[in-house]
Amino acid sequence: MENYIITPTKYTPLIELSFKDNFLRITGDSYPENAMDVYQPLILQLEKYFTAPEQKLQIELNLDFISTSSKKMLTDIITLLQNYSNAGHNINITWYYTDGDIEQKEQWEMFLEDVTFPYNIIPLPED
Amino acid sequence: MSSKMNVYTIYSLMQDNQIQFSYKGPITQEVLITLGDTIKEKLNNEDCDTKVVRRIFSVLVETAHNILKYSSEKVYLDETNKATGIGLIGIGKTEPNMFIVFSGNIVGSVEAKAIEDRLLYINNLSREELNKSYQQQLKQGTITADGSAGLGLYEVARQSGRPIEYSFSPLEDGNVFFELKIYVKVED
Repeated sequence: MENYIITPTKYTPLIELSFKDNFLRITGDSYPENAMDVYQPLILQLEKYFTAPEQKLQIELNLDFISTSSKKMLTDIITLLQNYSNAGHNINITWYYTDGDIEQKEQWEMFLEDVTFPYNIIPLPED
Repeated sequence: MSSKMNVYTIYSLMQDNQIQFSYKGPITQEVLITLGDTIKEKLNNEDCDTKVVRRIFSVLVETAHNILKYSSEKVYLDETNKATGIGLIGIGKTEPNMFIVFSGNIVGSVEAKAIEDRLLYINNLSREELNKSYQQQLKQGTITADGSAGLGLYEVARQSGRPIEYSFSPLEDGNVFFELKIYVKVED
């Protein structure tokens, strides 16, 4: 299976879903005019990814400026992942926040408060 | 050729109101990026806290997207092959530690009523209720095909931490001029 890669723009993140190495990375800013255009294709890829039984997926999220409609799409993706986890898939999320930015940390915690699969919310090392 | 337009009047008005920059015209994603980059750079030069930069940026994005999607005054762009809203958006300072993001655009009278109802509702929520409503909308709400999640004004209220100032001025043609003023404080 091919990898799914969407190159970033100033207002959309880098999206990499590796069918071979079992990871999903979303990195960058996300404030497109229509977040559906960005995340709906990813949802279709995830549906494809989880057609195989007991899939493993390591997710890394490193997001900075993010619009409400992007947040809505991420919420829907997390709900979808929870469903896949319930169905026996092995999912894990690492979500980075800017070190010292408690507001951002709390924001990511809010997204994950209902999930039952393992996750980490950890500070991004300053570059 | 002479016109009554006085550029100095516009300049002075902006200067007197401590407006750092303002734009009026079609709000496209490209315009938003330019405004966003300008304010990010400016705030970073002022050693503004990342948290505050993110708050101001967030308010800017949500208000710009509101105009882009909901302004009743629209222009068709060949470049993107679709219509985009026209409006006014800007950032200023009302006090040394208080930023203001403002916007103005024309909406129909029916839309104006719906926006006003939502603003009244949001402004009456306590901080805790606001976060709860926001989370509920995020988790249980739906997103429309054009990417509207109904969260923009909630987000703006959350980032600002104080009531959203707004007004609706009826225009002669039956439409309404809708303006928003959102304050973001530098320190907590």
